[in-house]
Amino acid sequence: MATRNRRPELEPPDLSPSTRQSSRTPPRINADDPRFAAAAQLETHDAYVRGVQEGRVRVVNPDTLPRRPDQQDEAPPRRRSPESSLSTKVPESVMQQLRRRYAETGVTIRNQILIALRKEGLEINEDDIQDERKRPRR
Amino acid sequence: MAIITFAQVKGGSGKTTAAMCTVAELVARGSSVAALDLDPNRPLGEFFQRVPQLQHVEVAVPTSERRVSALVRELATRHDNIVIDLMGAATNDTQVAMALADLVIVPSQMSGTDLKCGVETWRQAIEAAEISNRPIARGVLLARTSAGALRPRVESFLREQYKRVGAHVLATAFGDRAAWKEMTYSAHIPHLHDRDSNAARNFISVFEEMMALIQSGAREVAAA
Repeated sequence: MATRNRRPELEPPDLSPSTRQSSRTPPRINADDPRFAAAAQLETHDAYVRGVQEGRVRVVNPDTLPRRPDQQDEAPPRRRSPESSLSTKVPESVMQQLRRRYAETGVTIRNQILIALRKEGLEINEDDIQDERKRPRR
Repeated sequence: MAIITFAQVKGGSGKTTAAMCTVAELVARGSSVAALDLDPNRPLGEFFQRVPQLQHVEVAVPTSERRVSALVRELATRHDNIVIDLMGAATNDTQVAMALADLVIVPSQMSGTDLKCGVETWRQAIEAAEISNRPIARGVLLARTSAGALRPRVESFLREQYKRVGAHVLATAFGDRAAWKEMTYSAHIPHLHDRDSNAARNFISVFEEMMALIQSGAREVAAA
C-alpha cells in the first residue's frame, strides 16, 4: 500500500521588527546644502537683535550669543597650556581625509586630532582647541 | 539622512527625553547618528556615557568659535542623522536649529502654558521654513499623556486647539510611564533593551510617525 506524501510543515516567517534603516531615508546631506547658509544668517548679531525686538528671542544662550560687529576683531582666548611638538606618520588616506575635512569645515588638522582625542576621554581644555592663526597680529 | 530638532520654548515639556529616545532608536536600527546639545545642562552626553550601546554617539556642543550651523555641517559629513536638543526657552538658537532641520518636533504636555508655548514654537518653525526657503516637516508630540486606553478629555481638547492653529499633532502620544522617568537612573532604555515592552512599542510608534513626516517632507522638497 502506497504511503501518502506528508505535506511539509509550515514554518512561521520572522515577523520581528526590522533593525535595518529604512531604505526610504533620504541620502546624507551635502556640506553645501543651502540650509547651512540660511541658518548661518540667523546666527548674526543683526538677526539676534531683530529676534529680541520681535520677541522671538527672550533668553540668551551664552555659548552661542553672536558677537557685535565691533567685537569681531577681538582676539579669541589664547591657548593656555604650554605646547610640545608631535611628529608622527599616518596612512596617506587618513591625511587626505583630514585635509578634506579642513577644506570643508575650516577645522585645522591639529584641532581635528585634539577633538577626537577629547572624545576618547583625554582631558583637553576648550581654550587649547583654538586656531591661533585667527588671532590678529600685533 | 535627517536632521531632527526638538524644540519647545517652554522647559520641561519632554524635549530631552524624546531626543534621547530618538538617538537610542536610531542606534537600535543600526543608523549612524550624532547629537547636538544646546541645553547648557548638557544632559545628552552624560546620559549616553551611562548606556554602553550609546557611548559611541558623538555629542557636539557649541562654543563661541564653533557655531551651530558650522557644527551641524561638520557633523553631517560624518553621520547620517543628527538629533538637536534645544534649551527650553525662546533662545537665539531656536530658529537656527529649526532652519537646519528636516523635521521639527514640538513636544507639548497638556497645560495651558505648554499649549501657548507650543503654538509659539510651531509658528517659529513655519517662519524658519520661510527664511530657509524650503519645506521643513513638523509635528507636535503630546507628551506625558495617560498611558491607559482611555484618552482623557484634556488630551482631545489639546488636539483640537493645536488643530485650530493648523498644527499637525502626531497620532501617537508619548505616554507617561515610569520607564521614561527611570531611564536616566537605570540606563535601561525600553526600545533598546526590551523592544516588546509597552513603553518600547509606544516610542517605536512615535518614531515611525516621525520617519513618515520626514518622508512626506522629502516628497515636498522633490516636488518643489
